[in-house]
Amino acid sequence: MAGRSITELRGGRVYDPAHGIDGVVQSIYLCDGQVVGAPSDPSDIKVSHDLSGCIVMAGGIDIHTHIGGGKVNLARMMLPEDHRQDLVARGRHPRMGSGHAAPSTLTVGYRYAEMGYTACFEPAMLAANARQAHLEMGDTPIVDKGAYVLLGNDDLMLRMLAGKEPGVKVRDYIAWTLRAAQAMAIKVVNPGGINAFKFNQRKLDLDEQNAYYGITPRQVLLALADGIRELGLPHPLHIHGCNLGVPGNLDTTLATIAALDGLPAHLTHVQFHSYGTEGDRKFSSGAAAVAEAVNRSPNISMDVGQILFGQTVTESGDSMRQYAGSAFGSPKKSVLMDIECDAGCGVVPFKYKDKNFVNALQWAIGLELFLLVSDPWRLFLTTDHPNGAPFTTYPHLIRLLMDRSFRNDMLKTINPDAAAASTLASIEREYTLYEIAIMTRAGPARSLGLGNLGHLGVGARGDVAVYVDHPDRERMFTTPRFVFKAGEMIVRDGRVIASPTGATHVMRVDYDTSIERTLDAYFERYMTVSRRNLAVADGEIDGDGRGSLIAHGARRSS
Amino acid sequence: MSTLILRLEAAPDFDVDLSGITPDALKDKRLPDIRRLKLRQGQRDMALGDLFAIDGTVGGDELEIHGACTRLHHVGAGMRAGQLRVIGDCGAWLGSEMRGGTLSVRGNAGDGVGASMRGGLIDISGSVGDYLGAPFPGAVSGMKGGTILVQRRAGRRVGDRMRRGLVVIGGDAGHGCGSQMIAGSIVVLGAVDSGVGTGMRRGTIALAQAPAGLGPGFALNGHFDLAFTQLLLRHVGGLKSAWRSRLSGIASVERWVGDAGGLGEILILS
Repeated sequence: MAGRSITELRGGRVYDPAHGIDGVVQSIYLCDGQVVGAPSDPSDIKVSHDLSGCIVMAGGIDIHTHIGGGKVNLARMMLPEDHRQDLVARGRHPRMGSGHAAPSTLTVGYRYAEMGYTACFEPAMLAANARQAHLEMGDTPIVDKGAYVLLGNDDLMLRMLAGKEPGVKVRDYIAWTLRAAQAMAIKVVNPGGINAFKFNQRKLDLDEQNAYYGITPRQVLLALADGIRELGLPHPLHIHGCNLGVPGNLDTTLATIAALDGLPAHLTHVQFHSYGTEGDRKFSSGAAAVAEAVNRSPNISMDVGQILFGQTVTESGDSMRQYAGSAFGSPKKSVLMDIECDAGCGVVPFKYKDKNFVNALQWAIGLELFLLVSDPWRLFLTTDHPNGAPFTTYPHLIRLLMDRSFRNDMLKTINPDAAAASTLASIEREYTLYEIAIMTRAGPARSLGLGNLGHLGVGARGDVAVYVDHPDRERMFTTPRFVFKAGEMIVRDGRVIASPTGATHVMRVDYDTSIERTLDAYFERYMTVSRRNLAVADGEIDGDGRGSLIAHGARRSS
Repeated sequence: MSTLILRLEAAPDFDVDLSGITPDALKDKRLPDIRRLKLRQGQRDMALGDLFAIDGTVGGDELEIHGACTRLHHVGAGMRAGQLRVIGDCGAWLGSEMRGGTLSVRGNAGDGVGASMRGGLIDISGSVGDYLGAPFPGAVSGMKGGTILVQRRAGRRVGDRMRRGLVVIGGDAGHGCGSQMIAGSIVVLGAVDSGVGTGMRRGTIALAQAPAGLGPGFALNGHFDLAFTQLLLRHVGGLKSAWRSRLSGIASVERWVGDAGGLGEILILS
C-alpha cells in the first residue's frame, strides 16, 4: 500500500445515520475518491484537516428538485427579470450565471455545492424531452444527478390500460421507458388527469373516469405502482397526486394512500395535497390527518414541498392544475404546453406572501407535516424547488425545523388568522442534526438505492460536507467549512474552488424486447420521431469527456 | 451648487451597465464608497472609479455624467428622484424602470429608452433608437407613467405596449409608432413611418403630419375641435418653446379610431 495519498478529516463530530453514528467525534479518511478505513501507516496521510468544532455529514442529496428539462428552460425564458435581478459575476465562481427561482445550469450546481449538497434528482422528465433534460443536467456542474421519467398520462399507457393489456406488457413498457429516457425512477403526475385535460376535463378525482379512455387515476396508480414493484426498482412510484392545491384535497390524498393498500409509493410535495375545507374561508390544514396516515403506512414515503415566502416560479407537468393556477400568477404571465402528448407542462410565476391567509397557512401546513410525521427515514426535506421556494432556502427551512423559538417567532409575523388556524405553535418537536442527516442524506440515498452515496462508511464515495457547529443552524448550513466531492475539495468556506462534473445515475432493468414491436407500431402511427430516435444513447451523456453514467440495478438482482 | 460629476476618462471598448448610478442612490454615500461601487461589465464586475474620474460635491440631488458614450447602458435606470444630466451619447435602456426625477441627455440615446418607466421626466436633445417607452424584457407592459421628450428622431415602435404617460417626439418616428398601446399619449411632430398604432387597445397618438396611410383597423371618425386636443397641445407647447410655435394655430383634428376593439385614437393635427 505504499504511496497511498490519504486526506484525513480529523476529529469532527460525525452524523452518519446509515451506520447509526449520531454525533460521534471521529476521523474520516478519504483516498482515491472514497471513504477508507484508518490507515495502518500514518505516513500515508498526506493532507490533514483539523475539524474540531465541526459537524461532518455525507454530501446532501435532494430527492426532488426541478433543475433540468423543458419547463425549467421555459421558466428561464419567461422570466428574464429573475435573471437580471440575481447576477453572479465571473470570478466568484469559475463561470458566471444568473437567476433566483430558475437559475442557469452552472449556478444551480455551484449553489447546491455551496450548501453541501452533492446530488440532485430532477423529478419530472418527459420521455420526449429526455435529451434536453440530460443536456441541461450535463451542464450542471459538481452535483451528481438523475431524473424520474413521467408515465401515466401518455396515450400509450392509457391505451394499454383501457385495452386491459397484461401486466407484464405494462412492465416491459415501464422498463423500456426507463432505459430510453435514461431515468432513475418513474413519476406519475396527476394520474391520467393531464391527459383528461386534453379532453376538456378540468378536474379528475381519484375515481373519476378519463372521458376518452374511461380509465380512473386509481387504475393508473395501481398499474404503475404494481409494475414498479414487480420490476424491483428501489425507488417506488413517485406520485404527484390528483387535485394539487385544491382545498379539500386531503380526502383525495388519504384515499390515494388507502388505494395503494400496502404497495410501496412515494408521495411528493404532500404540503400541496393536505388542504381541508374547514373554517370561514373554506381552507384549512389537513396535515394532522395526512401525517397520521403516513405514520400508519410503512409502505409510504413522502417529501413535503415546503413553501417559503417570496418570489418564485411554479413549474409542473400538471397542466390541468397549472391552468387553474395561471389566474393567480404574479407577475401575470404563464406558459402551458405539451410535447408529443406524453404529459403536460405549465409554468406560472408566483409570489408567496406571509400576510396572505392562504400562503401563510400553506407555510404552516408544510411545517406541521415535517413535525408530525414521525419517521425521518420516510420523509425528505424539499421545497419542490422552485415551486415552494428556491432550494437556496434549505438552511432557513432547517432552522425552522430545529429551533422551536425561531419557528414561533416567525409564526408571529405571518397572517394572524392563518397562525390561529394552525396547530404549529403547540408542536414542541425540534429536529436533531441526526434527523436532518437522515432527511437530507441517508434517507434519500436509501430510497433511491444509491448504494455508496449518502453515508460515510468504508467504501462510500468521498462526498463529505463539513459545517462549523453554530447554534444558528441557518448560518451553519448556508456556509459549509469544506465540501468534498469524490474526495476532492470543491468548496472552502462556502465558496466553490473546484468544479468537477458529477455523474448521471440511471436505473437499468431487463425487459422483453418484444415490447419494441408494439412501440414501433405506436410511434409509426402517432409520434413525430421514431422509437430509436427518442431513446437517449449512453454516449449522449458520457461521450463528451466530462459526463459519466452510473447504472443501478433492480433490488432483487443486486 | 452641490453636483457630483462623473467624467469618463476614456471611452471603453466594452459594454458597461450603469444601473444604480443615480442621484438618489449616491446621495448618502461618501466619495471613496462611490468610487468602489460595482458596475457590471460583461461577465465581470468593475468599480465605478476605474471608469470615471469622480469629483464635485456629494450629498446633493444632482449628478452629471460627462463624455458619455454608446457603450454605457442602463444610464439612470431605476432612478427615483433628483437630477441626472448626461453630456454625450448613451447606449440602450436609458432611464429604464425610472420612477421619478429628471434625466436629461445632451446627445443621442440607444434602444429601449424609458422602458417600463413609471414616473419622472426624460429629456433627450438628440435622437433615440427603437422601442422607446416599451416593456423592459420580461415586463408585461411598457411605460406606466412619466414623460419622455425626444427633440429629434425616434426609431421603430415608439411606446410599444405603453400603459400611461406622455411621449413627445420632436422629429420623425419610425415604423409601428404606438404599436400595441394599452393607454397613454404619444405626440409626433415630424413624419411617421407606416404601421402607426398597430394593435393598439386604447390611447392617443397625435400626429402633426398626416401618415401615408393607416392600417385597415382604423376608420375616419370625423373632424373635431376637441377641448382635450387643445389642452394636450398647450401642455406640449409649454414643454419646449420650439414646439410651441409649431403647434400654434391648430384648430381642429382629423380623428381616426380603431384597431383591436376600436378604442385607440389617432389624431391628425391640421
